[in-house]
Amino acid sequence: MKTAKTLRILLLIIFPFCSFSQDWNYYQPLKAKGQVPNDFTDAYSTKFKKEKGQISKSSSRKDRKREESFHQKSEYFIDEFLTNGKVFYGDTITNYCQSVLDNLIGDDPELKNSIRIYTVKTPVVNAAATANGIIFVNLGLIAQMETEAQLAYILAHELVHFTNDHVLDQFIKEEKLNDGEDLYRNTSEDDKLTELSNHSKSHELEADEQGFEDYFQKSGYNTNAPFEVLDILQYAYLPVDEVPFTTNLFEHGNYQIPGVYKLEEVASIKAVDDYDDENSSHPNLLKRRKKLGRLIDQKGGKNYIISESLFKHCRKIARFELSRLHLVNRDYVESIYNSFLLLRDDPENRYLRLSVAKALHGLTVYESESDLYDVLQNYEDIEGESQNLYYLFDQLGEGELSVLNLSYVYSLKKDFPEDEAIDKLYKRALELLVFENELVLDDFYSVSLDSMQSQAQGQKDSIQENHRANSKVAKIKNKELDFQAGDADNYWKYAFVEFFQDDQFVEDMEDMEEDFEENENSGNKKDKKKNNEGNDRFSDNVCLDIHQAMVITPKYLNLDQRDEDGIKFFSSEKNLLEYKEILNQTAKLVDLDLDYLDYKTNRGIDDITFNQLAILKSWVSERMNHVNHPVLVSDFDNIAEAVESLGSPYLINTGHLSLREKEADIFLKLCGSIVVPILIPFAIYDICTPDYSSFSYFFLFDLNTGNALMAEYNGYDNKDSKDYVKSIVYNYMLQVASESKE
Amino acid sequence: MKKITFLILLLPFLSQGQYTPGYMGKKMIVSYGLGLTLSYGGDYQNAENQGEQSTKIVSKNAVNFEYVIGKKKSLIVGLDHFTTYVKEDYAGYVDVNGIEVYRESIKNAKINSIGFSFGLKSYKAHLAPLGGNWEYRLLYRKSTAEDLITTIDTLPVMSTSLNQFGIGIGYNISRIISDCIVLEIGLMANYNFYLGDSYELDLGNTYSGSLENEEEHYQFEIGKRVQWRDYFYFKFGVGYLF
Repeated sequence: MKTAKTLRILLLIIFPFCSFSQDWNYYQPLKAKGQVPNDFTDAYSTKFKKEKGQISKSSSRKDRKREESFHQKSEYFIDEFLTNGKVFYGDTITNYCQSVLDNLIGDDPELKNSIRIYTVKTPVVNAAATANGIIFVNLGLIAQMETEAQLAYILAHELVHFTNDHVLDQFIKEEKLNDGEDLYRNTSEDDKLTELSNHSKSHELEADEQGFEDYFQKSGYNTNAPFEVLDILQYAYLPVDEVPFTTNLFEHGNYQIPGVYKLEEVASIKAVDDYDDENSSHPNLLKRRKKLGRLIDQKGGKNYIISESLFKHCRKIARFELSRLHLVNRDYVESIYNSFLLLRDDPENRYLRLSVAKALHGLTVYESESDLYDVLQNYEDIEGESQNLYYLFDQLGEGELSVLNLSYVYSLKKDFPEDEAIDKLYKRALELLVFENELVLDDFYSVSLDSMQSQAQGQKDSIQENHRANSKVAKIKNKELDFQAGDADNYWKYAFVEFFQDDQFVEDMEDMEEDFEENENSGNKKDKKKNNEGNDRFSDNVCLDIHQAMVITPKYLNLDQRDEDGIKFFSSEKNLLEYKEILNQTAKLVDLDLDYLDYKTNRGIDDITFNQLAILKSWVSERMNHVNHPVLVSDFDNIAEAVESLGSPYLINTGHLSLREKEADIFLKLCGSIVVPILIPFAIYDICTPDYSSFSYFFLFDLNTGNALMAEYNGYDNKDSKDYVKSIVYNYMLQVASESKE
Repeated sequence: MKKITFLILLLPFLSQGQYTPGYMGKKMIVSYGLGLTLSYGGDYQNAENQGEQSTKIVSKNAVNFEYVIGKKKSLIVGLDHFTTYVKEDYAGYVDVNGIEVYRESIKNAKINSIGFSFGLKSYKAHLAPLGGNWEYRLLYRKSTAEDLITTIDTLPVMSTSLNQFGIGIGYNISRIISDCIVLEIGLMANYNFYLGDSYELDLGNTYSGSLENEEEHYQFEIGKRVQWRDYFYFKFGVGYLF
């Protein structure tokens, strides 16, 4: 209790200015602060040696080997995860979770020193503990939490996984099963899977139980929180709230989306707690509830011990992050719905509205490329209130999405006229409307439906008063007026009625129309796009005349098909170092100034570089997923600072992979060589020498435009020996630095 | 010939207009190649041991110049040399200055063959000059045979030279060590064409009739021998890349 109070005071002193003074209108993605922990910067081999040194020498040789094998794999995958750009330290949420955890642990400095908490930027609702003492807490989880007590229970659960070595235990169990050791000598494959699943489930129940008894209960938190957590987990796949979606989000003035684009009734939520967990690693929620029910006999406790306001602040951050994370994952509708939920409390929030605009932009681009369903889930698979939003986008006809996009972003622009990010989206929206959908100003009405109808009625009345009222001409004119006044079905034509009053809008549309006409009339039909943003050049040889670029975390992987593990951990690390040397060497030959953005460098990295790495890795990852779609990467407005400080907008993403294959078709080769004897030496050579496949990739991006200036990938059927790698890499570098000879 | 030489010398400059990475910017290789093939037949024979055939490995030495002219192409010019032997028996009567003379001759001639070739290498999966490649060559070969042993001392030494053109195709795999040493192994197959009746006779005396036939036959044997030797061989090369 005393510890908690002290922590609370400390937090309130330390955090007020950096945490609570967040400008939500200009929300910036969560950033790491402070010295970068060794977990991120130490080499994999260093971390493995450390873990290996802690293996108990009193265990049997077999067990020691198993444990060593475990650490080999475990450290590798944890290292890969830590350096994927999504894991953060020292940020507000991480520090808060650390405080909650410290409160749970209480007076056990050794345990406190063994544990590190990191936040993971993913919308997945989960937390995980590793054998080496790291607890990962996902932002998706924080976003769903209702109280600090619930978060504390989850951390207590994860803590037990670490203290009881569950991860290692599960691995050893699997090894014993695979080796047919002891009782498992004659176990079938199905039974092995069941055994593993049961073992894992027993760990989960143990973590529930012991987490509650050893840490949670003693800390003074509300004892109902564990049940609340299970409720949350049951509905974790749904958004953070369950609110009917209304098209008010997109509508304004004369632009009203018809009711036909709304489902009469949304699909009910089908989540159950007694699902079949036979082959699952976790017991179903009902079993967990029952077990906890037998354990928890006292009610009471606090929902907040550290800080309620800080908890809510962290949760708000997590929810704001979700809008961005969904964009990065191209889950545009989820992003819009999340922003919609948050906008209820802050309807004018620029960041959230901008997130919606980015999502609409993404959807519109994919739709223009006839790939909408690459990024739009089938609405029939969606449960709950968000289904209406999926339905809306599913039902919008050709051009309607583009109109919605422009309408929304221009409304946003009117509120933030000087905002560069919004302006960029606006210009792209204009382009999409005119170039892709061939819609121009004349396709839209400049007066409202009501005005048109009363105007038409007025004209009809004047025709009736005329002496020609019953003439053929009068009848034809009446029909024309009826048609105009009755154009209520094309609701989208009224989208820009208010905008017609803005000279800027009209001028921008007219300029875009002129560009479109010029493009259409030009002899060779160039790319329809006004600019080349997002387009890729996959030319066989390019000559880019670039002499300064950044390389972001190059990758090297050695795989062995004959090996159970598949990955050759140490040679991958060693070859990566050699690969970096080759990159340097070849860059020098072509007069290319190369710098590295990497977690593991000789000179070490600071938090600024760490954050730059994170944002750029996210950018590259999203950009690679878009492939040829000319979508503005969602962080286009967040990377400007990184680009400026790096000194070059050119980013290289490169790597190499080599696979040693299993020798195949030996019998066939031998038979073939006997039939054609001259092939005997070749067959012998082929059988005796190992077979390899290797693969190399090299992407060069212009961060300012989003273009992939170079995208090369080469596969070859040889080992990745130095001469092959050097030859390929030199070819890449030469293309980057060569001047065009045209 | 002058035109071909000029073109070859010009090529390094022509190739600058194309995209040619070479290996780390290096495009020229000078290499020594050793060709090995199996030879079946008689070499030195003496009159008492006629009919004995043997098989042995025989070699060819070559010097090659390779220049990378494109991403996956290079030009190659080579000079090679090998020696081989031919055995030709003759027993019968020849007309020597109007006199019929019985003669037995066993020609165990050493053939010196020098070849000049140029061609193209097409690299398969990698950038030139590395990795697997198909090689296509045009060859010109001049073979001279000397030294025959006859049972008649008065008959002069005959020497014969033979010109052949040929085409060759092969497959090689090359690797590079320390960024400058090139190692290559491969297989080559050539087919050489006889070039009409062009041969030179260096005879002290004039013969006619059957002795001339003998010479034609002898030349035929030389040509055949050279052709056989050049048909198919394994190559091992080492070179310097710069």
